Formats: sequence, C-alpha cells, structure tokens
Amino acid sequence: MNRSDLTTRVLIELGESSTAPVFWDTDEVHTILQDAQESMAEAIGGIKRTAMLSLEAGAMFYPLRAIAPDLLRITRIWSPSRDMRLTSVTRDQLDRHHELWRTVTGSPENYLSMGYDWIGVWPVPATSGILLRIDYTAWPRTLDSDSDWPEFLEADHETLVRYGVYDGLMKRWDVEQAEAAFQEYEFRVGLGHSRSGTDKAKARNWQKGSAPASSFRSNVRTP
Amino acid sequence: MNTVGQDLDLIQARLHDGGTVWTRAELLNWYNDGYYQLCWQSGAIRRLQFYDLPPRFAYTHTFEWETQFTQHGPSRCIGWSFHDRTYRCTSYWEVSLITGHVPAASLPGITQDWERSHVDAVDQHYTFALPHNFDLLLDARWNNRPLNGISVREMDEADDAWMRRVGEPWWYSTGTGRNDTVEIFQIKTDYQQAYSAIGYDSYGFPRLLSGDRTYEVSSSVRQADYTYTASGDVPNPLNGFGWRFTYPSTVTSKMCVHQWEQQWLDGLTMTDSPTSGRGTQGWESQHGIAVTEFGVGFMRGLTSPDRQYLGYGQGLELYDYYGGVRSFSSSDNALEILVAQVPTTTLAEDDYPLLLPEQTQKYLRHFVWSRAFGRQGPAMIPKLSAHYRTRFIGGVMFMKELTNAAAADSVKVKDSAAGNGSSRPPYVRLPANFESTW
Repeated sequence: MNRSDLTTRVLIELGESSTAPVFWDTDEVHTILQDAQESMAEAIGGIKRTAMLSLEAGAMFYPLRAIAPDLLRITRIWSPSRDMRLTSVTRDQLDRHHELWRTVTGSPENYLSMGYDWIGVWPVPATSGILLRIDYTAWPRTLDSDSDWPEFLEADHETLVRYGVYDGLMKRWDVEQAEAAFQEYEFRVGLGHSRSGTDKAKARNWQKGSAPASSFRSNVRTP
Repeated sequence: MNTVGQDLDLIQARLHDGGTVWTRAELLNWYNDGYYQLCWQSGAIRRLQFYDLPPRFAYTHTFEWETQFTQHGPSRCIGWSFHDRTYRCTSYWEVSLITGHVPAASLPGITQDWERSHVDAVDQHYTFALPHNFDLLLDARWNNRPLNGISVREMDEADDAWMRRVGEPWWYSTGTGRNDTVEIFQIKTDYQQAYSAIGYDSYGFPRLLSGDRTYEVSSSVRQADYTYTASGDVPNPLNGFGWRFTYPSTVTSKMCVHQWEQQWLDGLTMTDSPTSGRGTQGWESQHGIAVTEFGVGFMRGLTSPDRQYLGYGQGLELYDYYGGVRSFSSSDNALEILVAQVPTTTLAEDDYPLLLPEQTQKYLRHFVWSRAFGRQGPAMIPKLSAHYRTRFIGGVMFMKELTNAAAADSVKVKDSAAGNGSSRPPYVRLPANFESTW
C-alpha cells in the first residue's frame, strides 16, 4: 500500500469519507502514519540499512548521529579489510580483560556502546582509513508523496493501518475501542518482528536439547 | 525535529482545546517535565567528563546560605558547624578553643585543593565537583585505569588516614562528600594539569596552542572572497571575507603591491619579493603564483594521529554543540568520569529537545496528554490519562534499551552462579577456624 492507500484505509476504518473527510485532514493522517512507522521500527526493527565508517588513527569514540542520522540499533559491525565481525563488548568486560585497554592501539576487533548516541572501537585504531561496515536497523523516513510507500514488508502495512485506527480513536477520546485496536496492533507487531529477520543477524542462543531423555533423539550415534 | 511550540500545537489539536481548558503555559510545563523524565528515567544521555588534579571549585564557602550566590557553579562548603550551628570552623582546633578545651591535634586548613601542593597533609577530604546536570555516576578512571567504588566504612576499617594518604588513586566514593561530588583515594597533591587556558577570562576563546606537541592550523577558509587596496574601500558593498593585499607607505600616501616598494618609499632596506609574483586572487595559483592563505575564525576541532580530541559540552546542554572551545582536558594523569545526565534548562517554545532523538518526541506528547487528562477539573478522563501514561513508560523502556546501542548485537549466555569476576578485587578470605588455629 502506498501513502494514499494507507490514508484511505485509515479514514474508512474511522467512518470518515476518504475523499472529503470532515473531522480529519490528510496531513493529520500522514503525521499519524509517520508515528506508526516509527513505533513499528522501534518494535520490529524492520528497516535495515548499512553505513560505512572510516576510522581515524587515535580516535576511539564515534558519534552515531554523524555516522547515520537514522541509526536506531546496531546489528552488526564488519571490518572489510580483515574480513571479520567486530564483537560487541561492555566497558566492564574490557576492564577485566585489560586494565589499560584505553591505551591499547591496533586494528579494532571489538566495539562498545557508550550511550544511545555514541560508540567506541577497541583497540584504538593505530592507522587512519580502516573501514567499518555498520549494519543497523533504522528509523523510517517520512513518506514524501501519496505514491510513496513504507519500506516495511507488505504484510506489515496493515499494522500501520491498525495504528492509524488506534490513534484516530484516541483523538475521539474513545479509549475502550482504542485500547482494543492497540492490542491488535501489538499482536501484529509481534508477527512483524518474526518476519523482519533482524534476529537472524544474531547468534541463536537456544537450541533443541540433545540429552538422552529428551523427546527428540540426538544425532550422535554411540557404538 | 519539531520545535516545542510545534509539538504543543499537535498536543492542543488532540485535546480539542485552544487554551481554554489547558493553558499553553501549563502544557509547556508538562512538556518540560516529560523531557526531564524521559532523560532521567532512561539514563540514555551519557557523557564523559575530565578533571585536572588537584580538584578545583569555582567557589568555596563556609555557610550553606552562600550557595545561592555561586551561580550554579561548582562550590564547596569548607566550614564545619558546631554549637548548634552558631560557629563555623575549618580546623579541629577551633572547636576545642571556642569550647574552652585543649586544642585538638589538627592539620592545616585549606580553602582550595590546589593549596595541598604547599602543605603536607590536611583534614579536608579530596573532593571533585560532578557536573551540574549529573544524575548517575557510571564509571570513574584515573589515568585511563578503572577505579573501584568503595564504601566509607570499608575505608575507615582499612586505614586510619585514608583521606590524606598520598599515592596512586585506586578507589572512588560518593559516601562522604555532599551531593554532586565524588572523592578518590589515594590522593594526588601535586599538579596534574593537562592544558592551561591562559587569559581565558579576559580574551575569550583560545587562539593559539603551544606546548610539547606541535600544532598546525587547517582551515576550510583558505582564500579571500575578494581583495582590496586601501582603507577607502572599507566599508564596501561586497560580502564575504576580504583581504587588503597592499602595503601602505608610512611616509607617503601610496599603496604598494610588493613590500620592497613600500620599503623603498619609506627609505628602508629593501627585501626580496617572491620571484613568482604576488597573487591577489585564488585562481592565480593555477598559474604558479603563490597566493596567501588564511586561517580565520575559531578553533572548531582538533585532530591527531596519536590521540582523540573528543568534544563535549559543559553547561547548558541546548548549546553543547555550538560556540568555541573553552577548555581542554586529558585522560592522562587525570580523573575521568562517565555520567548519565539530565536536562537542566527549561525549554521555551522555540527550543528543541536536543538531548533526545527527534523520533522520541511522540513520547513527550504522550506525557503531556497523560498529565492533561489526569488533571483535576474539566475534561479529566482517567482512562485516557492512564493509557498515555503507559505509552510514555513504553517510551522510557525503549530509550533505556537504546542506551546500549549494541544490545541487538550482543550474545547473552548463562553464567555460573558464582560469576566470573567483578570490577572489585575479592576480599581476603580466612579459614573459619582462623583464630583457634593461630
């Protein structure tokens, strides 16, 4: 669905005329759809981007807004020159690993978050020009025209409509119906998160049990 | 990003009110509350701060009421009260004397910690002022090495003179100082000054860097927009950066292109001129002529292949990223802290809530609606208020999660029950039959 379709759907669901709405203007619906996109991106992480960062010798910290203004969550950092993924660590881990880790220079192998808007790389780059490829989930861009469409999967576009309906009902101060619509939106968000594939960038931290007494046999053959 | 005023327009539209039920000022107050709450509850705004040693305070005073005149600067009360706050003292012996007893053993009293470099030891604790917008101390380091947090009781039981023991800092504590302060132990009494801004109080921004390192200027403004010949051209209608390329003779009223001409007119020894000629416009460099380049304006950044110069704001966070460089610090031989901050300025309608990403402004609107619908009086709708309150809390949780920007890339594994180490060294463990055995 493009922006025009989404706007029409929301207005019809709210019992309004899609061509000449009385209690709404289309700009208002567009604002709600943008809120819907942002809320979905925060929950689903379905908009994926890649940015490049060129490191400077001696510089450990980098502001995320300068790397990509739409950066929401980092999902992976890859070093193309060394063909390796940088491992996310914490300050505490580095403190335990090396007391003076702040003074160690070399080719970065780890990165750490210093807050929502800046990261550090470690070891501190010894030379300038080392490239990092940063994969991230992004905040959505504003839809520019009626023919523009959201970047989320088509199956998630209905979720945007649900949010629009919810917010429209909130405008009417009809909280009972609005909360029901919001629950439907949240249910769809859960499905969207599974569909988005953002978790596939991570390691699986669970697996089926292989103990002898478990309900499925292991594939290990014993003599 | 919306201005606060634009957000208030959206808020009023949802309230179906033009200021009759909820005044604009009321909404603005709630908006500021929401801004503070979102920053504070999420702890997402984290910044580094560096301190030269010994610690410095803009003001020291002896009575609490004096703090109202410290202009929110870092201040320290050095007076201890006694006799139902009738008296203030700075040394132990003063109490004994006034109460008619033999003066107690005391060490010299100081009012600023730099005085420690002139005395052996003092009774005052070694205290640093935390930033005015400080909320939570997350990390402390001395000379790039992590310091461990410790309680005052542990220090009291370990050493009878821990507060004045000179040596390498290992510990930090917020236990004995007043609010917005932190102490480190052991202490350093000699000067550890990274940079010194000489004349900052009289001359504004630093113009020149000097020291053990070599500094060069790199300017994006390298060439003049136009050139002119005499003071008669000024003022002129041209815009941009102009350069007067002539040398005025002090004897005649003539203007010279080359310096030797001016020297000849003034009867001075003539020096050579550039053999390639003298250029006045940038494009002349294409013909092999040396063109004068300029470094103008304030220092906007510092780079080095050996270290990072990290810009950080101090004071009013609204303007953290504007203006010039006012001071320099270093992590070498200095105290470094990582703190979570809160906003300390009140937003007006033309301001932006710059500490937060623009996409989180919707949570500020939720906060205002929550307050508006929860206010006693006309249009009070508790259910709507509760719903928006829930949405705001969702925003807080989201920002809290976002505080670790790498959370989505972290692999979580189960740890052993005993843990695999902590930042604190373990206590000495003696056998249960310790005393009977020995």
